[in-house]
Amino acid sequence: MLSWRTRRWMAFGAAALALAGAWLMLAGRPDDGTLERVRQTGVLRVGLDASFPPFEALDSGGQVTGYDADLATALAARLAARAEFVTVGYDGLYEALAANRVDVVVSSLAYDPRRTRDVAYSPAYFNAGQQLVMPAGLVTATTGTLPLTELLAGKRISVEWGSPGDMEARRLQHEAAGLRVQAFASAGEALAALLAGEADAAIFDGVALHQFSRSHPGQLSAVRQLTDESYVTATRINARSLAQAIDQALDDLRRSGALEAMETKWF
Amino acid sequence: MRPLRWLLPVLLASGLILTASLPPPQIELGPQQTVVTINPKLGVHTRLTDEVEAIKIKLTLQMVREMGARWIVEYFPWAYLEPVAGIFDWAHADLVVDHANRQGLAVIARLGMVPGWARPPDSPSSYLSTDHYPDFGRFVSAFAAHFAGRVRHLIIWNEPNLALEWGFQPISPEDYSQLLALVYRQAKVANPGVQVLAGALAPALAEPGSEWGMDDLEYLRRMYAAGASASFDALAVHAYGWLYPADDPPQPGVVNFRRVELLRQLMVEQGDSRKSIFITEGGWNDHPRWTRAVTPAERIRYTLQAYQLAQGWDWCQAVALWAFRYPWAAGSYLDYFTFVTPEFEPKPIYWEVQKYALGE
Repeated sequence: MLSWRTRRWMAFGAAALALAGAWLMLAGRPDDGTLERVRQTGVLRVGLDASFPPFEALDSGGQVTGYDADLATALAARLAARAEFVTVGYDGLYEALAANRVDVVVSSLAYDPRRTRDVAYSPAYFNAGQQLVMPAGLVTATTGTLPLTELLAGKRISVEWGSPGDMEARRLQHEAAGLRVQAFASAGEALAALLAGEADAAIFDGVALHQFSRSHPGQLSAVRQLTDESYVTATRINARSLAQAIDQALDDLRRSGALEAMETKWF
Repeated sequence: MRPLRWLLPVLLASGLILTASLPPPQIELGPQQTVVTINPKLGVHTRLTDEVEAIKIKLTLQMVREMGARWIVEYFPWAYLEPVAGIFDWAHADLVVDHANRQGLAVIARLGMVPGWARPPDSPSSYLSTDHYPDFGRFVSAFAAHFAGRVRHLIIWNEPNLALEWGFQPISPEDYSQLLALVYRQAKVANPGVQVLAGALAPALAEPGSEWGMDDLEYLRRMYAAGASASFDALAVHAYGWLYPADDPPQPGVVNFRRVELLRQLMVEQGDSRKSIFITEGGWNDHPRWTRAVTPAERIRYTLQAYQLAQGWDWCQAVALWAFRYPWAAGSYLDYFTFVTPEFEPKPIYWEVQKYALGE
């Protein structure tokens, strides 16, 4: 009869073998050859829904244009390929990817943890989430480090009525004593109130903030990222080489300042 | 000591097994509620199909009632309820319907989605071939019988005038009318009091012969030509406003909220003036960048306007706008149709509709 120590080691061994088998199964998935095909054909098929300017839209000539279009073109160039756009309704993007109608989705796509068995996501390349904004003249060295409860206590905050910024502001009212929310019919009016000194802070999404900052250079300062709405690209889970190449290309674009240049161009 | 060293892991394992085998906690229905609202036609499309937690189902429906909505449209997929031919699983549907009824809500049930056993492999779940029409009819009959006294209105299929919803088969109002006739007969036998809603038609401006869809006005005309009038008690319609205010005048070449009046006119011309229309999807979207979206302020205004307009339509029984809440975020413009976040946080539009419903 086996001693309990022997039985214990046998149990550990069985568990280790099971884990190793699982690892081999997952790690041993063959690459589906997408990157190789892209390099051979010189074409990277990019799926997007062209109804989200300034990220993707159709110009007057029916051509795809926008931030994501430029991003996809730049990614393809780093793979020694050109981007071929396949316009698909947002609901159909993952199906198009699964059906191998496209190689990558670049379409203001949000990370979805429920899809990670079938899809590989890149790191985020843009965050369109809500940001707390203050007039640049009111921001000090310590503003960014203060707790929101302290930063916003007794303050007036302007938002676009009904927007996600409005929701954030209402939530913050529960945290910051005396916080007053001023809702305006448009983001532009909320901005005007902020710049006129009728509000102490405002909440805008990442794209609106970029646009407002361009039209009012030096007047606004983003103090806190309140929500996360990060955009990522997606490839099939088995297109591992392509995913790695795209991640590397994104990193190169970020380091070279190309992503920032695209933001300046489009926002 | 040796026996004790084995006892602890055994006790722990036994505890885990016992806990895992216990049934989930029962969520009480609670006392019977009544919806307080100045507009008895006010409704929303809930999305509880994939909401597995009873507490979240109850909370969703409670919030619907508290918003002032009396009607809900909910999707009851055939594929979920009859996963194996002849074997029905009503548990989740019972949960949704019973909680809805207890909150004082009237349920309009959308029926569709073909189970795998009733369609070819690798076909979309909207693919229903004519040889399986009797299976769908049998399912509708079973649904009508099971929910007699609890669900009075059934929508037969969804947007059959769109290829995507018709299994990418050639769009055929005639085939749909045939399906409707079979289903109508069987549903009425199972539950004579049930109301069968045809449609729901999607607002569509498709070119004649388009492989993607058929104009909803043309589709309805051809349904009548195929004799469908005898096979439905009311018409379900989807009324999206896109970029237009709710009171934008109806025109055949425009998709706006009042397009529903054109469908109504067609029904009257066909002698169906006594039948009602139910708006079972519709509304506006306020994504900041989607090309079919309006501003959040406009969405609120147009939504309230839509509910008010419908009050004046004596032929319209309900306006159930899309969509109250999703179980999880879609991460796209779709999220900007909702009234409440997946975390049950009411959006400003929820509060504005509530104020309206309370007469404030």
